[in-house]
This record gives sequence, C-alpha cells and structure tokens, in this order.
Amino acid sequence: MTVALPRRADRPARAESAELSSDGIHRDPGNHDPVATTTFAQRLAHRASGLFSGHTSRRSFLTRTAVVGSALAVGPIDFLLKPGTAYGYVCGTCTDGWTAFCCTINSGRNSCPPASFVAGWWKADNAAYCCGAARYIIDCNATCPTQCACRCSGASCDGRKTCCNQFRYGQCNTQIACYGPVVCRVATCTPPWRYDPSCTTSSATDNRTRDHGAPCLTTDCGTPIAKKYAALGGSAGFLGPVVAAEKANSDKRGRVARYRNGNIYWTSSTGAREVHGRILAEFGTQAGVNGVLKYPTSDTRTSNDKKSTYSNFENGRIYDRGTPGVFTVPRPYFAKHEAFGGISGVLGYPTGAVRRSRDNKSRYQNYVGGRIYVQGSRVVEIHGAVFTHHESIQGVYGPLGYPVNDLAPTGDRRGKAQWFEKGIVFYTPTTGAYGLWGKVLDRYAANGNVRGSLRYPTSKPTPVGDGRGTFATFERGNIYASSTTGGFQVNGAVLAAYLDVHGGPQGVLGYPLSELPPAGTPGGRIQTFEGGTLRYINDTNVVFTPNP
Amino acid sequence: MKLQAHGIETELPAGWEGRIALRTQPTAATRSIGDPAERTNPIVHLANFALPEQRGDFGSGAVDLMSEPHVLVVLFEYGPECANTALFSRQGMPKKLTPTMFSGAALQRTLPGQAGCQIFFTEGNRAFCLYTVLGGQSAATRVLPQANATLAGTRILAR
Repeated sequence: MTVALPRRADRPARAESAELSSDGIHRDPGNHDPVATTTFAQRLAHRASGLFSGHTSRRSFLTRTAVVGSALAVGPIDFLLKPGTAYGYVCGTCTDGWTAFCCTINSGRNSCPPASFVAGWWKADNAAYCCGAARYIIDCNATCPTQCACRCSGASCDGRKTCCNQFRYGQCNTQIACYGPVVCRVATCTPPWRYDPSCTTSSATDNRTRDHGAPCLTTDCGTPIAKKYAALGGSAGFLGPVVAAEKANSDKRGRVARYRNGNIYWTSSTGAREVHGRILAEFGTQAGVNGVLKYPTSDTRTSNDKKSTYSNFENGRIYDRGTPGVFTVPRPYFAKHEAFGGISGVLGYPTGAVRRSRDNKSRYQNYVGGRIYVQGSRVVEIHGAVFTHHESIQGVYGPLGYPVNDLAPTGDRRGKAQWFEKGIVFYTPTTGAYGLWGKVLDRYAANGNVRGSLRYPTSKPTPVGDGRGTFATFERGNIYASSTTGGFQVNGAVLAAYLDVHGGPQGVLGYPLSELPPAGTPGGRIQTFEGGTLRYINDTNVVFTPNP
Repeated sequence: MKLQAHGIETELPAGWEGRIALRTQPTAATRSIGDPAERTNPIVHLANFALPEQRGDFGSGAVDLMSEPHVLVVLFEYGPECANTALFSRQGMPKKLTPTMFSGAALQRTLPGQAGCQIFFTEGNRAFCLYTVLGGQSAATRVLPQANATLAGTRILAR
C-alpha cells in the first residue's frame, strides 16, 4: 500500500513566479512558504501528536540501528538514557530543520513516493549505517505543481518534516527544471547513479547527516558478495556451500567467492553477480574475468522465448540453449547481434564459437539465421537469403568477397542491398537474393541499378558457355558482358529477337556493343552487336541487319 | 583579499572570508569517503561571519552559527554533463540577488528566521548552483548589497 501524501489545500499565487523562473530559480512558485507562516508552528504541534500509529521504544530502535555499533560501545548507559543525546540526534524532530526518511512516510518503502522524483543526493563519510563506507542520502522532491503540504511526519522517531524544505541538490533528473519541496529522503549504501541512472556522479558531502536514522532504516553491512549469497539462499540455495572464501582477484578490480555450484563475482561497477552451471563452465573456457568477457553484469536469466538461459558480462553474453550447446557471444559480435534483435531477430541464436576464417582475414560467428564477420574494426552481419546466396557462391572466397556493410533498404520501399568487397547482393521477397559483380554490375550501376529499367536481378552473373562472356537476368531484361565488349543491357522486344531469333551471344549477333537508344533518337532506335544491328520498330517488329 | 582556484576567482569584501575547495576524490582504497566513480567538483563558501572548519557542501554546520546580519554564499559546481540541461538552463552567474528571490523554505535545513535562494546556471559550459542563505530574512534589504558585492567580484573561468 502506498501512503497518499496529504494534499495541499491552497496554492497561493505569487506575482514574481515567472520572474523567478527566468532568474534560474526553479522551485515551484506555487508552493507557498510554509516556514514563514504563523500557522506552521501550530500545525507542527498538532501533527506531531501522532499520525504515526506504531510507537517505537528507544531501546528497541537502537538495537536495530547502526548506532549500536558505534555509540553504544562508547557509553551505552548515557546513550540510552540521556535525553537529547544520540537517540534524539538519530531520530530527529519536526523542528530540527531536516526532512523525514521515505520509509517513514511511504509505508516502509525506502524509495520516492508518488508525485515525487529523485532530484539530488549527498553522502556522509564513514557511516556506521554502511559499515564504515559512505552513506548516500537521496532527496525525493515533489513534482510540479506541488501536491503535498508541509507537515511533520508524525512518527515518534524520525518525526522530521515532509514537504517543507524547498531545496534541491540537483544531480539527478536535470532535465526536470521545476521542483517542489523535499518530500522525503532515501538512505542507501548504493551510489545514487546506480540507484537511479538519472543521477550524475558529482558528489556533495554533508557529514552532519551521517547518523540520521529511522526505525525503518537498518544497517547495510557485509560485503556485497556476502549479501548476494544470503539473498540467494546461502548454503541452502542453488549455489550450495562455500568452497573458496571471498578474495580479491589478481586484476585488483574485483572479488570472487566460489561455491559448490557456482561463483559470485563483484566489482564496484557491476555489483555482485552469480554465475553457475554450464554458463560458468563456458565462462571458464573463456578465461573467466581475465578473458574477453570480463565481469558478469547480471545473474543468470531466462530468455523471453523460454528456450535458453543467459548471463550478461561486461563484454558480451553467454547463452545456454540446452542440447544445441552453450555459446559465448563476445564483443563486438554481441553489439551487432543485439542491434539486429538478438536471439529474437534475424540472426537468432549463436550456433558455435567465434572462429578464424581460412584466409586469416577475419573472425566470424555463426547464428541460426546468418553470420557476423569481424575484420579489424569492421563488424558486419549477413543473414537470410543474402547469406544463403553468398554461401552458394563460395562465400568470402567467392566472387563477392567479404561483406562491407549490413543489409540496407534500397530506398524504393521494395528491396534491400548489401555491399561486398567486389560486388553487391540485391534482394526482394519476390526475386530473391542475387549478387552482381564485374562488368555486369558496372553496367547495372551505370543504368540506375534498382531504379533503372531493369529493376532487380533474377540471376547472378553466369557464364554464357562460349568461354568469352557472362550474363545476368533481371526483371526487365538482361546484361551481357565479355572481356572485349564490356557490358550492355538488352531488353524488351530487342531481347526477345536477340535470344529467340538470333541465338543470343552465341548466335550470329554475338555480344552487344551498345545500348538501345531512347525513343526519338534521330536515325531510329538501333542497338549494335558484334555481328550486326537490331532496329526496334515496335514491340512486334525488330529488324536484323547483319554486318556487311 | 582575492581567492583563486579551480577556475574560480573571487574578490572578498572587507569583513568577509571564503574558501575555494575540492574534496578528496575517493578511490578503491578509501571507500569510507565514497565510491571511486564519484567526481568531486569545486565548492566555494563565502561568508560575512567566521566559517567553521567542518561544513557540509551546502553549508550545514555554518548555518547553525548564523544570526540576522549574516550571509552565506555557496557556489557548488556540477559535472559538465549537467551544463545547459533544463535545470541549468540559465546562462551566466547571477550578480544581483533581491529579497523576493528568498524564501524561508528554500533551505537545505530550515532554521527559524533564515531564508535561502538557489539559482542553477551554466557559465562557460560549467554547471553551478548558487545557494545563498540569509541569517535573517528580515534583514534581506540590509545585507543583500554585501552579498551582491561579493558576487560582483566573483568570476568563473571557462575550462
């Protein structure tokens, strides 16, 4: 259940509000100054008498807080019994000028309540609450327009104010200019930028708030690995008992603890993450944290399709698909794979480890739907019909060579194309995928490629069979090329006459030596061939004239 | 007296004191003072009263000592990623504070009689918050000229 913040009864207008905003003062101008009003003290006295139903005794509270370890050890009797000493300091009052903790006013939740946002943070050094590490206090400011009214929390301990201090630390959500008063404070041992990614790492310090407490705040001690292990069930959990105690890794960056069925790794940037089972075994074959993957950044997860489990690492991911195997997708393959939808995309699951090509010019990884090649800094994927076609013509060792970019739309909203070192593959769902290269590609490009009259290819360049030339077919014509003639397009009625009447390039006409000129050309539309000409009269009449 | 450090310089009026400080950057070996990923930035504290040695970055410890004629000026810098964002959209450091800018609620810690004003701004692609605390809001008209004189003598240098 979420506690609804008390609503404001009024929003006095302020004449200077617009002026303040233009001056860079972004506090909610509609939130009036409750501290200056004469009714505030009366309201404090009224509210402090007990909105908070549960009473927390001094002793029971202190036994739960970090203060036990510090102050109690020094002077337990004084500390417990003297009014106005540590107990008062930890608990605070409605008049001490500070804001209550969120867990006090937000149903025990140590998080920002509705109608508030993470607006800034500070830290207190050497905090007992965080076992001697820095303690972070994150302010939750009211969103504009302010929907809460200044009041005391009403708790017997942490009876501090809520919605009164219109102050902003300012490192978080800086895209939000307007802010209302601080509704409450989140206390954590987790750095704020990891608690909320909108926060920056610019630190502010206020050590006087080090031991501000509340009954709902507990110490946060133990190493992250120890806490993680406990959270996973300890020795009764799936990791099983400890087999090697936590220790620093040789990289001086992280720590690891080993258990019967898995490990927990920790760094300050990744947090504590477990790795177990077959994924851990694969991680080991990749040299663990000293290998390409570095530290895990997630626990083991189940994929959305429920067909695999996986763990994320700083430099990639490991998938366990069961019977097909366990495969690592390291950087830079991982980024490319993700860019194409990951396992749900066109490439699908990895089907093998990263391999080196026979020509030593690349490394690659196979996937269900294609392959990713890495050559130096170039990372290119190839998939589907284009991949199948490329493989059918000897892949990177064939006439196209290596792909140099990913499959991309051709711009006609119909097809796609992928560039290779020595050619281009064009694809549409109706024509399929065909590569073009050499003189055929040169002519196709010169004639406007997919936007030209030929449209998309329906074959790759194929030997004519005379030992001289090649040809490729297209949706609306052919291109013929030979070593001596170059490449030229033949289409329409001229193509029909060329092939059906005169035997094509192996017939009397041989190879074309020109294109058919456009309609209106003086002297008529005549296409020249090695053995003569074809004059286009109309779609049913093409006249052949042999060379003299 | 002139103070100059970390790309900030200020000419202190008579009767004022100040510090331009940069807190120690935490490292892996000093987790007691924070996370190694934290970034510390320059902080300026200027006041017309004696500043205690132990102060929070936004003046806690000092504000407890303030009485009506006292003014505390804090210039707190943020990382460059904050510059020119919505909160820091104002360009240039304010040089003139007026009583209407102050509120008894605009304080990090609300103390009776005190009033504060926060102005977020960007200057030279550096993001700052100018936080000013008056020991007594009722003395605003009398003490703000001093604060404004201090601001007039303060310059932020581009980095």
